[in-house]
Amino acid sequence: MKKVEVFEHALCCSTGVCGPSVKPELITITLVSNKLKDNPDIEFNRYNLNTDTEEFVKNPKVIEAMHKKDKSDKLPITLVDDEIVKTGSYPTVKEYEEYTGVSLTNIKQEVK
Amino acid sequence: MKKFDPLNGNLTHYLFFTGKGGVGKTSIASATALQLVDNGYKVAMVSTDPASNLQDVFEMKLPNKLTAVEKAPGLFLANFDPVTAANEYKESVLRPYKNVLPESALKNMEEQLSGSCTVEVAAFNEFAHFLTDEKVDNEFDYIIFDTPPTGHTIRMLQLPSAWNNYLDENDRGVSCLGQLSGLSDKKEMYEKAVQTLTDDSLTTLLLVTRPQRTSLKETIRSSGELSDIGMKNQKIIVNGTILDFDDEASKSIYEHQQADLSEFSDFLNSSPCFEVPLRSYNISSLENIRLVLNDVQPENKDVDLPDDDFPSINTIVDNLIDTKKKLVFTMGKGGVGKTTVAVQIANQMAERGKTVRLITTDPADHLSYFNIDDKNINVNHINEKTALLDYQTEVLDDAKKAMDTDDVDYIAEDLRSPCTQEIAVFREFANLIADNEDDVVVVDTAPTGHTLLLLDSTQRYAAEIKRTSGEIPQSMIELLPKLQDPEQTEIVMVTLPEPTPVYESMRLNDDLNRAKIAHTWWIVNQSFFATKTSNKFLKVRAKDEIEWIEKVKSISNGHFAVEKWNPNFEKDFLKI
Repeated sequence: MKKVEVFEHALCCSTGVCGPSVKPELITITLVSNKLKDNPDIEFNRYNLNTDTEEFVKNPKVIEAMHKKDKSDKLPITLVDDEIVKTGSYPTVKEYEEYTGVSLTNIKQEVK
Repeated sequence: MKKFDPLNGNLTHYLFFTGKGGVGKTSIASATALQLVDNGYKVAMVSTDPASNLQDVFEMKLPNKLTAVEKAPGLFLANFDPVTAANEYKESVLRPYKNVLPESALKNMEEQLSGSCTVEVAAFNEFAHFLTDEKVDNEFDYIIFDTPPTGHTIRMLQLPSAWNNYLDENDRGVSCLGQLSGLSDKKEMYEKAVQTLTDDSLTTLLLVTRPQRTSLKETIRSSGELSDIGMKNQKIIVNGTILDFDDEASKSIYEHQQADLSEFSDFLNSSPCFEVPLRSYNISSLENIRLVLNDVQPENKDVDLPDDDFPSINTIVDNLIDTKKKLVFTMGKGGVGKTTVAVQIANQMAERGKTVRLITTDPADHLSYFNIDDKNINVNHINEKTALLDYQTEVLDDAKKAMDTDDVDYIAEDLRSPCTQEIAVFREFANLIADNEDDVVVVDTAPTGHTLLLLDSTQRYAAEIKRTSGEIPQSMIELLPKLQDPEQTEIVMVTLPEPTPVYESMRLNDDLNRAKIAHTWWIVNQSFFATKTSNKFLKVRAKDEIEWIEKVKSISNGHFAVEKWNPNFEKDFLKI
């Protein structure tokens, strides 16, 4: 059982289309999440800073990463089995495949 | 027209007053409530108007729970300010994380909670609560809602049906409407509220309008929109008809009122229609409000007006030309005359040799009536509905290239969100402005500070990760710094010399400041004071205006102008 968690910025909606522009990586993660939701071997969770703030606070690794003194903030932060694997941007489809071991070839990377 | 008489009006249990800021909605609603309680009924009056002046009327601090009004036995009052509630909600969400999360994360959360969605959700929540409370239902003969101005109301009312679909279909949790936690727990309450609202035997919509063309057009629009969502039991109250005249201003107003009322007689005959004549006294005290709907009226008293002269719109145009502004927006709530002010500014600039592009999004489509034949002026009209549709189609077409049909449905759902509309319109005018070669662009609407801040943060984020893909159209990226540059841009705030419109403008002003948008000038539009009338009725209204003109003067640090009520405006500028 693999656990993948993505800690995201405060978002208006999960696909980003009701914000000022369409973010392809938000559409990708929505599709990935949708594909994996019925997979018994994978636990895939997205946490929105606004609505799931408690999940951020409960996770010392995430909080620590967010507080690192750096110009930019670190979100989104991706964890696989409680270890941070990526900060500052969303995983690519290829990375999602590596994290989960599931083939996601029907999701094209370049959602534009 | 028959005089409005609540006692012979076949009133339903729930009464719902609606009308743009400044039409006298609060006064008529209060007068109705007082007539009813003075005749032995028990009445609850609920105000959700953030700019309510009910506290002055009833000489009490406004409670947020139904409280007996001492000066009017039988009347209970509750006031709910959705802006305050939304702010309190925002604070309560952020407070626990003040020292836990980094500043940038808190800022990001705060902006997402500062949109109009949060205010609307807060307002509707309260509204639904009163509509479904059985105790209130049983205890009172009549429940009167003094709602916020029409724009808010319509959106609020359109929300429940959107929500109903939304809550049925959505299981993902994250969305604009999911901002308030536990929303789905309230589904039943919202459903019942919607049912009550659209039940003709329970609810009447009272449309308050001025006997004046633009106000009537706005009322027709709002009547249609509310009828579309199922509120079909409607009555029209024409407030402020002038029955007689004795000077040039009053004669001209009388004639225009008569002409406008007869022009829209089809609409006025379509529902029961009543009038409330203009009174020669100030209708902001309890004593006077009791008199408003009476058959017997006191003798007219004459008031003295000070001899002040206020600057006119020319002052603003002079300044815009002197400072070589390239982008001028008029901002304000619907009904204050944003479009007419934009047209005046465009005309005056063209007269002084500038080439002007005038862009309008006026949903009432006033601009198609404007008689602009100056070849220095180019006009573009943005249809909000078409803009939204285009944006939705574009996004979906892109999405379809990359995913299965089932997945596209997810995106289609998010594209129904209320924020999308503002973004779609903003994209359109960003495009129009980008291609522009005229000296000046005048736009009769302005993006809210909230939209700009969202855009700004997205843009900074894109820059941070050095992504070059065109996820925000270039025209929007270029427009943002321009809007924040006082050297080339001015946002002119348009308001009316009355409490509700001034308070509304102050909130828009705060929003602009938050987004650091360039704005200096204010226009107080449609002033009777500035007509220098000698008519006793008009002088009373003129005198009431002074307080609000002075308020604008002080807020704007003297950067303001007052436009007189111009009965000939439509003849001068409109194709009739």
